[in-house]
Amino acid sequence: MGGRGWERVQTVRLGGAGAASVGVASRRREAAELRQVPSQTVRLGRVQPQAPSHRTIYCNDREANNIARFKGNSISTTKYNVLTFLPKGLFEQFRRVANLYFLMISILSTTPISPVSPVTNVVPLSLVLLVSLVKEAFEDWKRFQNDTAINSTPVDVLQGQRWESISWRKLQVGDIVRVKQDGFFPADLLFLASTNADGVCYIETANLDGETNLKIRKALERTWDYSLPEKAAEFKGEIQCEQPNNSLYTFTGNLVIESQTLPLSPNQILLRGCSLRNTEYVVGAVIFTGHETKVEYIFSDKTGTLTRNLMEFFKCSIGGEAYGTGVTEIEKGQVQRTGKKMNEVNRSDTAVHEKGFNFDDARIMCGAWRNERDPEICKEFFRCLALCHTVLPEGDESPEKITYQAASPDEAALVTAAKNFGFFFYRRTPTTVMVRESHVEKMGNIQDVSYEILNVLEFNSTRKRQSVVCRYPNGRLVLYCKGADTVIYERLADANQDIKRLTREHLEQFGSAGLRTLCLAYRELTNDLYEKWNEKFIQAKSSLRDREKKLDEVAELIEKDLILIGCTAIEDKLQDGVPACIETLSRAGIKIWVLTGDKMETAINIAYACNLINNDMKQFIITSETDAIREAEDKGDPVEIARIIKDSVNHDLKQCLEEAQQYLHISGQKLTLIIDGKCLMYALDPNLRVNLLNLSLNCSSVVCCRVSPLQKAQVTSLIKKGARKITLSIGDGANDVSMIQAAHVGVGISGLEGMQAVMASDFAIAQFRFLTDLLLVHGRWSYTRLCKRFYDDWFQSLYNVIFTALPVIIVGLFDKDVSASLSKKYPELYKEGIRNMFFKWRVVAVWAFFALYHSLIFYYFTTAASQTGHNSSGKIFGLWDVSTMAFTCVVVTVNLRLLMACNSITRWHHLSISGSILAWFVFIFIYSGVMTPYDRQENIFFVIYVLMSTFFFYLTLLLVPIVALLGDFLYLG
Amino acid sequence: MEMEAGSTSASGGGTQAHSYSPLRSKAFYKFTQQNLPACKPNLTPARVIVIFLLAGVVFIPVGLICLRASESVVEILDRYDIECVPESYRNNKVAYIKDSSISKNCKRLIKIQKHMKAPIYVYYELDNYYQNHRRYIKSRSDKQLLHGLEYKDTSSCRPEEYNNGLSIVPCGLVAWSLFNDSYTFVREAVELRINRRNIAWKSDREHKFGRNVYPFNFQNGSLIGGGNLDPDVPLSEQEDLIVWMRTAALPKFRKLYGVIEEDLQADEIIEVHLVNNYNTYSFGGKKKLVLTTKNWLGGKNDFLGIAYMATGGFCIFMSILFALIHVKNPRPHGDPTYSYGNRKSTTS
Repeated sequence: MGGRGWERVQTVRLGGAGAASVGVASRRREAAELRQVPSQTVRLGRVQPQAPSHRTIYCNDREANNIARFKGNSISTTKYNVLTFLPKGLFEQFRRVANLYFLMISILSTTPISPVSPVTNVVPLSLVLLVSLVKEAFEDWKRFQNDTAINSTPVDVLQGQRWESISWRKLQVGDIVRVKQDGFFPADLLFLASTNADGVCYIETANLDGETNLKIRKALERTWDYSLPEKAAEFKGEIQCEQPNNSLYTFTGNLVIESQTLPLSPNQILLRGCSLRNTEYVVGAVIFTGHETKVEYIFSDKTGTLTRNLMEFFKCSIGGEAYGTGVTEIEKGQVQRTGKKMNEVNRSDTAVHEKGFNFDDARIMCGAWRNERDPEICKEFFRCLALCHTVLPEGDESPEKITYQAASPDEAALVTAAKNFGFFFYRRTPTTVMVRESHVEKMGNIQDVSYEILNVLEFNSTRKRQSVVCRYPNGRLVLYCKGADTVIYERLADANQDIKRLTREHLEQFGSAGLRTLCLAYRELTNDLYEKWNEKFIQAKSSLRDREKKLDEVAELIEKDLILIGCTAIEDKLQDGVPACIETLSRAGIKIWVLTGDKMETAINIAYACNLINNDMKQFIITSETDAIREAEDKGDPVEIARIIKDSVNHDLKQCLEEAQQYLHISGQKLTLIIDGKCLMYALDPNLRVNLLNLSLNCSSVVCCRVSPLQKAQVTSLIKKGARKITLSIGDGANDVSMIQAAHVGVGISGLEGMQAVMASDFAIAQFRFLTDLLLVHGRWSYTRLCKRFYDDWFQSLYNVIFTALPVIIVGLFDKDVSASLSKKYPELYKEGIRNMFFKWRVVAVWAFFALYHSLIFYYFTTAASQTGHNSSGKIFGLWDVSTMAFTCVVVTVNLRLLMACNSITRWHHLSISGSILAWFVFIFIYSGVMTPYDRQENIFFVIYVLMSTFFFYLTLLLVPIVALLGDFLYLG
Repeated sequence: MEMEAGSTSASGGGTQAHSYSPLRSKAFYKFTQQNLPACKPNLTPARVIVIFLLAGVVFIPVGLICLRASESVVEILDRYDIECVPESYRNNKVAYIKDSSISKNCKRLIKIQKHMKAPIYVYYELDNYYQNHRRYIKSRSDKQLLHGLEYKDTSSCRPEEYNNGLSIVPCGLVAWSLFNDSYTFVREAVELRINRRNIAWKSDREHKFGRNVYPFNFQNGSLIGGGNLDPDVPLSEQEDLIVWMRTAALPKFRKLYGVIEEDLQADEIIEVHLVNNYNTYSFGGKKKLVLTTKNWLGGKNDFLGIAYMATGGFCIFMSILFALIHVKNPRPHGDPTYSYGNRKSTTS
C-alpha cells in the first residue's frame, strides 16, 4: 500500500469471524504506546481526493456559523408527512399488481359497458387500501414518535461559561458539547478533551458497525485542557473540514487555533450514535449535524453470521506437549461423518468454562503444571500470555469480577487463559503490568509481581505478530512475542528442533480442528543489546516520515533468535449447529458461498470449521499475496499494479478452470475456490467475469475474502444474473445490506448487531442455524402454498373477495405437506423447490385447466338442468335463480377444493371453510330477503327462498361440486 | 388421517417464546410457529378406492330415482311459428306478422300419445330469444313495478321510459316486449278449462308487483313491442306479465302459460286455437307449445338423472381400476420419500 492519498487498508470483519488482532491500519497512529490501534475498515480501491469544497466551522461562535446556514440537528426517518401521506401511500399501494388490477377493474366497472355496478369492486378495494394505509400510518407514527424522542434527548452545551442542557434538535454546528459516560454522541463531534489522562476516550460503535469492542479516540494535545467550562469557553478554534459524506472511516480536516494549523484525523472524530465508555465525560465541538452526520449512510461490516465472535481458549501446546481435552464442533462433525460414535468425554473437576476460556486439562490446571516435565517453559508460556497483549482490565481486581477490554476477543481469551492458569493480570499502568502469580515459587503461594513494560511492538497485518519487551523485578530482560506460526518460525533460533517439530504437528492438528492458532516465543535480552536497540527504536518512533515502515524495520532487529514456547488454539465459537446446518443445506443441493471481509487465513479457517471445505477437496486459491504483485506494489505505480494483478488473475482463472474441468471429469473430486477481494475486483471485470462464473459454478463452495460490501453485492448479482440462479443472501451486519438487497431472497440475522440488515431483508432470523428451518421447512411450505394460492387468488378475485378469501389465507398460514421433522430429515426434498417443481408453468396450466373444467361444469350443469319446471307447480327458474344456484355451487366447490388442496388440515381450516360457506348463505338470505329503498335491480329478491323450496336445488348442489371436484380428486389420486 | 401433533420445527426460538407465558400465548405460539395440531388427509390407494366406491354407491340410486321421475313425465312439444304463417307469406313472414289486417288465428291439432294426468302444464317455449342480454335485463324498474307512478326515477327503463312525455307503467324493454300469443284448447268441440291464475311465483306476485299499480300509457308508442295490458287490472294480477318479467337465463326458455286441470287420455286429439301475434320472425326465433305433466322434481328433465348415473358409474369404474392397479403394483405406505416421490408428480 503505497500510502498515497487516502488509500488505506482496514480490516473488514464480517461474515463472521474477524478479530481485531488481524486488524490493521497502514497508517500508524500516535496512539498511546500501550494501546492497540483501533481497527479500521478497509476500502479497497482508492478514495478520490476531496473536492475543493469544504466547510469552515467557527467553534463556540453561533453567529459566525449562522452565515453558513448549516443544517439543524433534528432528524426525521418518517416516510410520509401529512401532505405526502395520501399520494405517496396510495402510490406504494398501487405498485402491487393485485391492487392495480382491482383499480383497473373498478375503473372499467364505472363505464356504461360494464355489466356490474362499480360498488361491488370499489368497496373491497377501498377496504383493502384502507387497512394497508392505516397500517402504514401507524408505522410512520411510531417512527415519528421515535424521532421525536431522539430529537428531544437532552445534551449539555456550553453557554457562556456553564453547561446548559438543551435538546439534541437545537444543537448547532460549532457548539461545544459535553457528553457524559454511557451517553450517545448527539452529532458528529470533534473530540477536544476528556477527563481521562492523555486526552483519550473510549467509544463503542455498536450502533454503527456492530462491533462491540471499545475503540480509542485521542484528542489533539493542543486541546486537552478544554475540559472545564471556564476553559472551554475560551476555545475559539476554526475547523476546516470536508463536506459531509458517507465514508465512515475517513475524515480530513484541519483545526486552526491561534493561526496554528493542526491536522485532524478520524481519530479525533466522535460519530453520532456511538456511545462513550470508561470516561467520565468528553468535550467536543459539533461539526456535522442531523442528516449530514455520517449515522445516516451505514455500511460497514461485522461478525456473527456464522460465528458468534466468541473466542475461547481451547487447547495449547507447551514445550512440545499438547494440552486440552475438549472436542470442537468440527471434530464432532468429522467423527459423525465417519459414522463412529462420539465418546462423551467426562469433564474433570478442574474444567473451567467461562467467557473466553473453555479448557480442561488436569495436568496444567491449578498449579499442576509444576509437576510437568519442564515447568520453566510452562512459566514462560503463562507469562507470555499475561504480558504480551494490549488488553485493559476493567472492574474489580479480583479474578471473578474483572473484565478485560480488548480490541479483539481472542486477545481477551488469551489473557483470561493466563488468569485461569494462575497468572492473573489485574492492573496496567503506562509502564507496568501487574500480575498476581500463583504457585510459582511453591504450591499455594500467591504473589503480586510488577513487570516493567519497556516497549510494545504492535500487531499489524504485515508483521502478523506482536511483541513486548519487559523487565522482571529482578532485572531480567525478556522479549515475549506471539504471532502467526509462519512468521514466528522464521525467527526462531536454531535450537530445540524437537519442540519445533512437535509444536508444528500440534499446530496442524489444531488447525484441522478448526481452531485459530498463535505461536508464542520469547528471547532473553542483555542490557547492552537492549539499550542499543532501544535507541534505534526511539529514533524510529519519533521520525516524521515513513514512521511505520521504520518501526517495522527496527522491530525486525530484535524479533529474532526467538525460543519457541508453544502455541495456543482458540476456538472461534461457531453459532450453534452451523456445520450441521451447512451440511444439511449442501445435501439439499444448495451451494454456499462465503463472502467475508476477513483475511484469507481466517476465512479458510472458518470455511473449514463450517464444513465448507475439507481436506478431500481440491482448493483453487487466487490471491493477490504473490511475490510478483507484492513487488509491483512496493514500486507503487498504480497502473502497473493494476496490470500485473489483472494479468495474474486472468492467468489463474484460466488455469484453474482447465484444472477444474479435468478434476471434474476424471476424479469427480469436489472443488472449492478461494479468492481475495483485490483479485475479485479484477475478476469481476467484464472480460474475466465469464471465466470466474464458470469456475465458481463448478465449485461446490466458494470463499471470497477481503471483499467490500459493494463486491458482495456484485458477486451476488453476478450469480443472479449471470447464472440465472436463485440467490439467497444472509448476513447480520450493515455491510451485508447491499448484498441482501441484491439477492432474490434476503435474510437478516437479528442479534447483537444493528438491525440494518434485518430491516433490509425479507426474512429475519436470530441465528444462522435457523436457516435450515427457514429454507427447508418454511421455505418448502410457502413454496407449496404459493402455488396453491395462485389459482384461488385469481379465481376468487373474479368472483368474490369475501367468501373464499379466509380459507385461502388459512391455507397460506397453515398448510404443510410434509411435517417439519420430515423436511429436515430429508433435505433432498428441497431440491424440488430448487427445480421449481411446484411453480412450473405446467402446474399453473393444470390449475388453469381445472378452473376451466370447473367453470364448464358450473355453467352447463346448472343451465342444462334448469330448462324445465322445477317444482310441483311447474314454475320456471329465471336467470337470477339459475345464477344464484351456480354461484352457490361455486362457493361450495371452491372451498371444498381448497380443503382438498391442503396437505394438512387444522381446525382453522374447518372453521374457515365452513365459515365461508355459511357466510355465503347468511349473505344471500339477507341480501335476497330485504328490498333496499333506493333504485336497484331487485334481481335476487326472494330468489334463494324460491330455490330452496325445490328439490332440484339440493340435488344440483350435491351433484355439481362433486362432479367438479371429481376431476381434481382423480388427478390427486 | 394421521394426527400430526405439534411438530418440532423451530424449537430453539420457541422455548424462549413461551417460557414466560401461560395458556393463551401458548396457543398463540402454536399459531405463529405453525405447530397447530393438524390432520393430514393422506390419499392412500385404499382410501381413494373406498371414496370412489362410496360416491358411486350413493350416486347411482339417486340418479335412478331422478331418471325415473323424469321418465314418468309426459311431454308434448309442438312448434308452430312456421306452420301458422299462410303459405303465401312463408317467404316474408315479417310482413305477415306486421300486417295487422291479416288474421293471426291458427289451428293446430295435437295427438295425446300417453295418458296425461292433471294438472297438465301449458308452456310456450321460445328459442334464440336472448332475454339474458344485459341491456335487456336492465331495462326495467323494479321500484316502479311495486310503487307505480309515485316512483319517478325510472332512468333504467330507457329507451321505454316515456311516451308522449308521460311515464310508461310498466316501463322498460322487458315489459314492452311482453309475449302475446294466446291459446285455447278444444277437446271434442268442448273447450278445455285452462287455469291462467297462479302461474307466477308467489313471491313475485306478492312482493315485486304492486297491488295498486295499474298499467298506464303502455304500448302507446309508434313501435309496438308485444302484448298490451288491461289498464284496469293491477300489475300484481297481470300474471302473464309477471311470468314474462322473470327473465330467463338462456336463449331457449319456457314460460308457464296456464294449467289444464283435466286428465287427457291417450289418442285423444286436441285442437289448439292460437293467435299468432308475437313477432319472432324478425330475429329468427322459434315458438313452441308445450304440454307436460309434472313430478316431484319438476318437469321432464333427464339431465340430472343421467348426470348422477354417469358420475356414479364413473366413480365405481375408477374404484375398480384403482383396485386393480393397487393389487398389481402395491406400494408400501408410510415411506415418506416414496410417498413424496409419488406425490410430486401429481400434486401441485
